[in-house]
Amino acid sequence: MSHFSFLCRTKLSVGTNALEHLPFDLSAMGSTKPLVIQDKAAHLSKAAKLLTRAFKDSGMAIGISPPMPEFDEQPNALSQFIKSAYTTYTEKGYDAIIALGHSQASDMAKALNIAVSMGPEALKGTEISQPLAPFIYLPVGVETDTAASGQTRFNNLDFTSDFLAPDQVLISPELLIADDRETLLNTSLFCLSLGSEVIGLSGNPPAMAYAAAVIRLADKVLEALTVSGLNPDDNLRKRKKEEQEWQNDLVQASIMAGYLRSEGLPALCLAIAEQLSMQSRLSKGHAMLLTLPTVLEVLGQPGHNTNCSPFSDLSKLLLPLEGPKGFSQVPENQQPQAAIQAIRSRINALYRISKGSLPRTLEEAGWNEATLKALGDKLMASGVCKGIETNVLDIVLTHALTGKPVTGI
Amino acid sequence: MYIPDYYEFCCRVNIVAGHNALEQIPALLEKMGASAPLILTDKGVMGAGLVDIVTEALGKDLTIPALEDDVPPDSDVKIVNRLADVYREKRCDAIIAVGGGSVLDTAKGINILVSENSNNLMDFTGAGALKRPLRPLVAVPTTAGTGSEVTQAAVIADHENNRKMLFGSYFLLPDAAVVDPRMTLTLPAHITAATAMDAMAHAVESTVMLAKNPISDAHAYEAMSMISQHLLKVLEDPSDKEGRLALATAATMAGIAFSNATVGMVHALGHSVGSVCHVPHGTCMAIFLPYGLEYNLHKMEDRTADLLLPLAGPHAYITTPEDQRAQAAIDWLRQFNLDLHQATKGLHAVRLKDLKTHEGLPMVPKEKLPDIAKTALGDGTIFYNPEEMDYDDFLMVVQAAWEGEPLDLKKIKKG
Repeated sequence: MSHFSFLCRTKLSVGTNALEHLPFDLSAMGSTKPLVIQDKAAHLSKAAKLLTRAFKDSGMAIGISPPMPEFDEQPNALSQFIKSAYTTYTEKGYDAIIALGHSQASDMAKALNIAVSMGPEALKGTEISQPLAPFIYLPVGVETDTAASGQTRFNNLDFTSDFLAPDQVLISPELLIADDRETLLNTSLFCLSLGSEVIGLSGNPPAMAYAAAVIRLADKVLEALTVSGLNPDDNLRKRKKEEQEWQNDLVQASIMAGYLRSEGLPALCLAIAEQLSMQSRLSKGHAMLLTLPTVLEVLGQPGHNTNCSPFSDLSKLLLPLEGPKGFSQVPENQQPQAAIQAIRSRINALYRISKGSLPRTLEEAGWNEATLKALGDKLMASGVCKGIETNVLDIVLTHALTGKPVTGI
Repeated sequence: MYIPDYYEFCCRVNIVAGHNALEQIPALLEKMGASAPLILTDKGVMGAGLVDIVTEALGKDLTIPALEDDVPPDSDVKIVNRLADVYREKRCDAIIAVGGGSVLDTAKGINILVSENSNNLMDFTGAGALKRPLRPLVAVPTTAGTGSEVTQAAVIADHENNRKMLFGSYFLLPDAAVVDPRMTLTLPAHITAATAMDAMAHAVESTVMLAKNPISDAHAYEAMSMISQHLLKVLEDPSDKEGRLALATAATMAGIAFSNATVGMVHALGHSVGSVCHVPHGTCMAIFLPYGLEYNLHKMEDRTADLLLPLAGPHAYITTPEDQRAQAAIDWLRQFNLDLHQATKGLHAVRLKDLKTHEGLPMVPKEKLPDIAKTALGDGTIFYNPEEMDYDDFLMVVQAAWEGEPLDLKKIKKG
């Protein structure tokens, strides 16, 4: 690769006072009348009330739509919702969109933004090459989907454009609805794996900087969850406060990880894990972690990585994983292997602490050679493994099955 | 990892970097719906043949309705108005700015006028006056230092009314920064050193400022590491393309870091010495950087200690006792300046008193030090400095930097 590129159009604002800034943020984008769309979880929480309070005395009139239906609630329910929101937006003169909720709220806001900025016909499929209306996303929890990315799906059509990404993501701890530990664990593993693949294989320094921040935040939570988080002696109050902090850190990590889901950045673990998690009990994050060591071992080899740039360097992954002291103690030529070993250590720790319920290999998760072969064929046919040859994918899956290190490529 | 109670981070610029990054511009413009760019540069860049490299890389399929090199070192409102007319007359639909801060500021000014269909820049001064995206703007930096390709500000002089107009908005960020080492391959050694140290100062200062955050830190550490690993190698072998690319990429990343986390007293003093004595900015940054860390040390010891790894590498980090790492990072920067002095055959100065004009006269006469301290006092960058500074504090620092002596830490008033 003779060049790399990275774009994140989204401004991130984080903190206890972030909501107070929202009217100013919208004003800076030229908006005076935003429409809020929300999912059911946000509607049932106090989030919308807090949002309304933030606009008090701002001189702005905000509109709040009824909660959107769930994905599988009834046929065409989401189309009807977008149609109704489009009518409200255009007839009442709104000029910006705020999405409040989980990933679905953001993804539906992107669809609404296509409709209000380019006309409803554009939702039948079009190229988006111009800025859309101002769009701010307010998450209410961690996420492992496309909320912060320039991607959305509507009526079975995929839309991808830099202009689809939110102009701003505002993370306010007050808005967060408690996620359960399983969700926190899955998200931390998702962030850790996605960030590791980007640092180890992308050779893209700006993306690697985001990835380093993602790994540090996610790994901090993972460590807390695996070491002290499962301690039954913790009193409930202390645990609640800790969990709020973990969630706040993880929301930041998961939003930044969303930025890394952009075209051209390596995400083989994610592509494999989405299939693995659909066909087994493995969570997406855990499935990513189980394939990560072999993906790094195989694609870290010269000639196997189409993203290879002058800045590709697997040893850089050791620093966010082990910290300055751990990184500095390892001789330079052993750093790549030490980084992979650090990931295997986390896999083993999860297995040990969960008393075997979090498997170390795909074999322990119930997969075998035949089922993985079928999964590999499906992945290659779907086109999601861009730049990866069939034999390379085979090596990755075979070794992830048993957890044995890849040698002699 | 330090996570502040509140932080913001934004860089809406598409960073495109590499050995053939310039060749990606037509595709970038097409993605933005543009096909007729105005190329803007200055006479120095034009004379160095850099625009020829750009136009050749753009290929024959792209129409270039106008190429203008009439940008002065200090961007001027009259020039902006004239070039906005050129943009309109030639029916351009985008700008490619090839150059440094002045070219980019001029491009931003033109872009405001043509996008807002206005003839009066004054209507858009200050922060937040722009409310919507402007026309496509591609920045091609020709020095690896300022980071102006990723900043959201512009300064345009109105010489007739003896004032400077300041503009600040996310909409002023270029749509793309195209970082190509061919643009810096012919920079002389001392300018390579000074501009790289400008970037180093952006990265280092951003990590000890009050507005730092996890993402600005990650950009800054990577930038420091790239500069410390590649700068001396590039000075030894100026044709080292990988090293040039690393320095240029580091400068852009350092620009991203400081534009989000801000800078402090090093920049206040640098601006002041530049204004009073006309010393190049990068030279001032190199000289003042160790002093900035030293002055703030009592408030930022942990953060300063963390700098030792990206600056000096893992061996130095692990073999230095924890309580000595901060001082070791400062010492490393002083030694790095001495190494640069040697590598540039003495052209990279390490003390203010060694700076000379072309005629061999002192650039910073000792009697000017009070003026420098007084001017620094009014610089806006001091707002985010960890420790407060008054006139006496500035004078103490500038006197030490003039002599090339470390600060007497006992004299620092600890607020």
